[in-house]
Amino acid sequence: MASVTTRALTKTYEGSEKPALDALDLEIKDGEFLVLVGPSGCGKSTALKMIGGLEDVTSGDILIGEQRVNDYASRDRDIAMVFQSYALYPHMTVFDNIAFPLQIAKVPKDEIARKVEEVANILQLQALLHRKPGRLSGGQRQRVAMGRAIIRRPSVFLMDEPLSNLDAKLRVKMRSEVAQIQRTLGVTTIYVTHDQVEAMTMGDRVALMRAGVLQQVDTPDNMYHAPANTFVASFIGSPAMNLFHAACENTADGAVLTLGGQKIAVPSAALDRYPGLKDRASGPVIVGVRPEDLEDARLKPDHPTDQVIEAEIQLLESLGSDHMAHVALNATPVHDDEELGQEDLDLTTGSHEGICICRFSSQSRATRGETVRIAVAADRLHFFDPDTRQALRPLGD
Amino acid sequence: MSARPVSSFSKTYGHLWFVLPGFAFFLAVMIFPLLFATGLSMTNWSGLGNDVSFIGLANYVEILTHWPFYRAAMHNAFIFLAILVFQHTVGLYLAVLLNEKPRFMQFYRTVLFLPVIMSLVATGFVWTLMLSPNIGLINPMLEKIGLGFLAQQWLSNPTWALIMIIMVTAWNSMGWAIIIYLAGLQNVPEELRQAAEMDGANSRQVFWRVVFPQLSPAFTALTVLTFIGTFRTFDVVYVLTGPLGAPNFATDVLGTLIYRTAFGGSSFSSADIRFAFGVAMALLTMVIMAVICWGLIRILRKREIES
Repeated sequence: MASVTTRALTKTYEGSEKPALDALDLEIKDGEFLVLVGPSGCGKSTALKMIGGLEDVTSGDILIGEQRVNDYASRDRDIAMVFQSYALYPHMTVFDNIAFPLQIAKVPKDEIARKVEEVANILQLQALLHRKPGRLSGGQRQRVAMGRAIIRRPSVFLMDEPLSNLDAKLRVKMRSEVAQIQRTLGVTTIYVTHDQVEAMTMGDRVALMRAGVLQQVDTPDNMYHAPANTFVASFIGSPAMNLFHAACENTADGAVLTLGGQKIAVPSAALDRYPGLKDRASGPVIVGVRPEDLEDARLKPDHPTDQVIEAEIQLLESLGSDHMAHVALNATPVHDDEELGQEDLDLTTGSHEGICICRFSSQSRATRGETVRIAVAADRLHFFDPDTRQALRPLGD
Repeated sequence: MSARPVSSFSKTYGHLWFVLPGFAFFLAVMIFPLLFATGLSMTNWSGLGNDVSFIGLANYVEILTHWPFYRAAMHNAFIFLAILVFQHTVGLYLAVLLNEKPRFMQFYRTVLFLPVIMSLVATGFVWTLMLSPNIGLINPMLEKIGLGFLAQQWLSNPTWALIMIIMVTAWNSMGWAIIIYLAGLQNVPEELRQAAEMDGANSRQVFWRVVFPQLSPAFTALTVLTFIGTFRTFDVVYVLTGPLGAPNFATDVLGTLIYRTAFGGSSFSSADIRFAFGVAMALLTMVIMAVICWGLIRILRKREIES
């Protein structure tokens, strides 16, 4: 086991001026499960391949444990990788695929057999050991790839979107299995995915990247509740956080937010979380609100009246447990270009022109076309600088 | 106006009209000549005159005891084995080098493939000149570099003549081997190599244990094509050592034997021309080659990977 550190790790491809990976600084603790997440082309796979020795480093350092491994070949880094395509050797049986790293290391045959048996037990592959990969299902292939990675107990696991070729149901199942195996073995793991749900559910920490630049690295909870900027806020969470341009006025009685002509009192709890808002003179601000922090006011009779807005419901989607109400707000939404480029974007994610998504409880009787009063959990509002798009709080909080 | 209902016969067999032109062409240029040749092989026609009589399978029976047929077939087999080894070693090695995408790859690829697109008769003639003991290039060159003791009567020495035939054929056909192996190598997913490297394999182990097994379809294709190519060989021998497979039939192959038997082409008198016997030899060769090809494909396919 070992920690993994990258220092100002940069990759610039020939013929391109813009780096594919720009000064990545990461410290992954021994035994930690770190998920690198981001939209396509954000540099997450490049970072993984550089750590694995499959891509040359343009500048910066990679350390495994205390050892700088920039110039080490992949095979000398004591790492194992699970590829998106699984990369199983098609001419070998499952047994030989799993045993391959040990056969190469010239481990005695009886020991190989014992270890393969052990791994096959963990991954429930006992009945498939004599089959070739061509005759396995997607889930089984994925398990064989895991088996090949874990058999020699490397210091570090690298996983490059290993679940993306599985169907939705199997993916959920394998998600927990992979996380479970990692926790059992306690091997430092770097896992790349573009799926934020995978990132949030599997990782001890999540590192979100965009256009080669690390945006935030934190625990899943902190990523969700204290996003560093509007990109993180809109990428993490489904449906995404509603982000609008608004105006904030600091008065003697506290701060008041004007959102699409409607006023919302900002409680001190929100100001405590975003001290930058308190320090600013009155002016424009980007406000973010999660759909679950917007509730049908009829279900919350005790909600402070100065934290309520009115809007017309344009679309109502029932999910059984909740209703997703798409309401029209007379406010300018904030779009991050890549936010709309997300592969998982569907009708319920991303803000559209003036549309705000609210998650009403299933008890709500609101109907489409109706103008409803919406209770805003104003103490959970998020505030960002409209110029830099950074959260209005000191870095690292 | 009411449309006539389509009969069930038309529904079942109507599509065959579309196949008919192609089938008619195939019938005219393949099936008919083959049947005609089969009929001819059961006669004693010399190729000239009207003296034709049906002799059944007598020609085929005679081939079985015809020593020149076995001698020629052995030469073919020898050429096949030598070319096979050459292509699966040198051809594969050059394909691997080219797959590393060296500088000027386009140039190397063109140079190596060039012999394939050149006429064998023309290149064969150039080789004859180069190997000539009187005006050739090879012997003086060997002398100049201090290897004069190796100078030979290249095409007059029975052993060397066959080796020269093999060398020219190998030089000519290597482009195919390289292209077929290169295509196979380019189809091996990069991630397989990367995975093997991660698993601790060095570059030699990556190639022999992971990449090479993926090349079995290329191996099969090349082996079968080489078999067919070398058992049909004619032009190289004809140009380098003549229709008699000189010296003293040391380079005689099935192609030249069949040609000589059916059309003459030797200094022997026209009385030696036995057209029907030549046709019988050609047909028998074709059947034997088909059977061996079928066997080869069956054996080699078993080794290929289930996709």
